[in-house]
Amino acid sequence: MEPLLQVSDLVVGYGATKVLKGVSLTVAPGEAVAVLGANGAGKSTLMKVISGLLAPWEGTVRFGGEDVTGMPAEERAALGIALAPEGRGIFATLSIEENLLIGATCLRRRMSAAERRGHERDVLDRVYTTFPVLAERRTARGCDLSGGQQQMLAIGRALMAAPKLLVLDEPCLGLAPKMGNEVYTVLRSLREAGQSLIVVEESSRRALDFVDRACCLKLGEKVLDGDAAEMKADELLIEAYFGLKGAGR
Amino acid sequence: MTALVQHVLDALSVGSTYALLALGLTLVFSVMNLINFAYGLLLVWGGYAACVLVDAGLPFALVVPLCVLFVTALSVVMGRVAFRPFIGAPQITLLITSFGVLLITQYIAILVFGEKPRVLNTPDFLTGVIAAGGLRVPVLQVVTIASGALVVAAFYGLLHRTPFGAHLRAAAESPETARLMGIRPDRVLMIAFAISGAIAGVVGLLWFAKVGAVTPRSDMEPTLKAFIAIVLGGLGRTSGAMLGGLALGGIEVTMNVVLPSGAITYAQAIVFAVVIALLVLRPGGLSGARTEAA
Repeated sequence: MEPLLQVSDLVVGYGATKVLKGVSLTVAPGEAVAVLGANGAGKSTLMKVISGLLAPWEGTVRFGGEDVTGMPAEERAALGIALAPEGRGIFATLSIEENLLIGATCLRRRMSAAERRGHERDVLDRVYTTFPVLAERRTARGCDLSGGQQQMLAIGRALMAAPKLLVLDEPCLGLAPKMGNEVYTVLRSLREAGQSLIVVEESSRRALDFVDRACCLKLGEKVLDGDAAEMKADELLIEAYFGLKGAGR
Repeated sequence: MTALVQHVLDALSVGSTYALLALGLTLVFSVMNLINFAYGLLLVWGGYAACVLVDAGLPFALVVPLCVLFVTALSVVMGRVAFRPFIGAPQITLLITSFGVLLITQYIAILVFGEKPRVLNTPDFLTGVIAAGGLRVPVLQVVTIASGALVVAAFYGLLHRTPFGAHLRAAAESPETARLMGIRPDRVLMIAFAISGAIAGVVGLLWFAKVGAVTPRSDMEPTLKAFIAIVLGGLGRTSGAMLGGLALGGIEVTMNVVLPSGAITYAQAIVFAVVIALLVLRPGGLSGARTEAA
């Protein structure tokens, strides 16, 4: 089967500093992939390249069989890549509902106005059912939410775009462990519904429990890529080798 | 008592002009971090357009919408040609570009209309005065305050009740995240320039109806006032811009009232001193916004 996402030999950085040194990654349709690595390994940079916020120096990005390497982020969003960015990226001055509706902006090019309105209603209902707290506070401003609620909102907003590929950059960063578990419960149900996704994590334990495949980045290079279950068996080894901290997460 | 009401009306009318100026300028700043020094030239060209149309014999009721339309279009062209290529460029690049646009549009105005002031003939009713209970209120003042209120209401309706408005606010807050949502930064910028241009069209008419004549260098005063209002209110916030405009109008009128006649000559200098004092006390401006890009 043709991969949904195919990233090949990416080289990119900021200024003169090279961050990724030839990284490749594929995601098959319906697959959940974890990208693991310590702080500074290049995980978020890789996500920026996938979403189109950062143009690679070398290498290609193909999505749904199409070469999207030179395509800007706003057009990739329309193609079906939704990134819930590191730090969540909630619009603080917009209401919860405005934040969610703005997530469906990219559908303008995929659907007619009537279709889109119907879709917006459906997905909004679904997001509100999944995250009742967002429904309760739909008129509150983004800045009035707790970190956990903001993360729910970020995931909900990404879902509004009906993405073919959902990319979550450290969805549990800064959250209490209980809140992190809730986030993963939601991700698990999305995955069971067939959502293709990439989840970026610094710690391996929880992510490996839930994805099909994982790859590890270290200092801008991919040092491991394989079946999550197999990797889990070797978890202690991985953690010792890569210095990933799994404790408590 | 009547004197006080008169002063309040004066302050409101001067202040609402400044508020609109500041609003138009802030809007583009908020989505592009662009301090557009050419903004005053939009007013000047709007003023000239009004002169030409009035002299051509068009009824004033038609001159107003045509002028606003013309300045809106001019603003969009300015944004498209001069600024859109620099989306994401460093602020200094944008600053230099805006000076370039200022010079080019100003010298074209000089070439076309010459340096001499061109009189704007407004219809008689605009120069009239409404007398009521000891008050003598110029019609233009009432029109100015009403236009100010109307433009602000329309602006907030657009900003808070339409998808475009949500896109503008999102892009102003975080251009990168807005792009992830599929919001095109170039389109947001063009909408911002269009709205900002429409506001400039309205203010231009009010401004030159009051001053009575247009020169190619008439941009200096409104641009300066807009900047003071913006800094006073808190950079990058539309509410702050309007607050700053009204406050500046209030300060100016108060100075004219309370200063002894010998000191009136220094009114502007004193206004600046008051503004500086306010900023020393509240560096973030009256609205207390963080000065992110200052």
